[in-house]
Amino acid sequence: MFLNGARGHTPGKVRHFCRSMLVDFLLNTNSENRARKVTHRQEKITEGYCGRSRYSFTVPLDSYLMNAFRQCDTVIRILERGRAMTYSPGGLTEGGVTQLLRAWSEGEEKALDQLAPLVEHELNRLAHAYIWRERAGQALQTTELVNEVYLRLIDGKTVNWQDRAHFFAVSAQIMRRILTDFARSRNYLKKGGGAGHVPWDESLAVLAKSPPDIVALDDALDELAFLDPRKARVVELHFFGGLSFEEMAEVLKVSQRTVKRDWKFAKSWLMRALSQRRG
Amino acid sequence: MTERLRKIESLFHAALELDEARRAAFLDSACGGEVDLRREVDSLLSYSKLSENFIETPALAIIAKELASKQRQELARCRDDARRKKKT
Repeated sequence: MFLNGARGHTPGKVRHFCRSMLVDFLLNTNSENRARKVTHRQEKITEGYCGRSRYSFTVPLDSYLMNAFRQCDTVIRILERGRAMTYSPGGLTEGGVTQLLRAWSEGEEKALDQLAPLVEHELNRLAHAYIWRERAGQALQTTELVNEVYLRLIDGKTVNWQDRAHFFAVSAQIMRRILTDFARSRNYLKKGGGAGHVPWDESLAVLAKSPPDIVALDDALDELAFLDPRKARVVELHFFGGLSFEEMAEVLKVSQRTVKRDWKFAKSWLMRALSQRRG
Repeated sequence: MTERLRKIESLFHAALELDEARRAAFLDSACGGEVDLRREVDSLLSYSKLSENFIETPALAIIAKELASKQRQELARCRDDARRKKKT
């Protein structure tokens, strides 16, 4: 997303390099100077680490690269000020909402294809923000950040009133698919099986404290939808789609009280389903 | 939603509004002799407290946090690698 192409190098490599500098900075403040040096009009970029591979660049800084580094520099500066999530230089996530809207009108599958990279990008940014905040010794109070991300990705304000309900519903569905696929592909939140026999109470306590297995939750949600579609939708809208209770009441055309009751019941139901799965 | 689920749900919410001490008596009278119904409501109630914080963090945040911790590990390893290379 930094650039479209740089002479002789694939965008992926250059992007990789930019990210590595950023990440380097996040990890080790001493490398700030190195990152800075590269960002400031040096004729040649010589090296960069990313992952365990080392990249060498000997190309002159053309405008593409300059642009990329400038953006990188902006990110760094903003990280320094501790507002990792509030910047938006040069449209790194160019109108997630607009794209989603356009794609949505052309069918869900299309929206899925277009939104998935944006969501992944936002996930990475969010992850960086977490890393930074932790390094800075700040508590992980990140509700605001998360809400901002949701707003950027799914902003119902730009949709006309009649379409709002459908828009939110479809968006939440798509978010569910993207996030579940992501979790599945990376094997995240997969609880290791065969950890020996754990007493029931103890395994419940662990389940209550640890983050949920999103893939298993997705399955359980299908089962719940079979019993009571509205409760499953409440979970989809709130947990995956980031909708507030007020918005859900509007989308589902029921009172907020009903939504809250559904949510409470569904949580108990789903947690039981997950614990039985593990057992 | 089936009639049975509707019943389970309404008992679940009604019981939650009572003190724990009074729940059993309430359910005894409300369920009558329906053992299955009673068992189901009890089972769900037993999860209600445990599930207080369950999925209260949005999926997006959960995955991003997980991503952050993986990246942290990966990056710490890279840094160690780089340091080792410097030394040699």
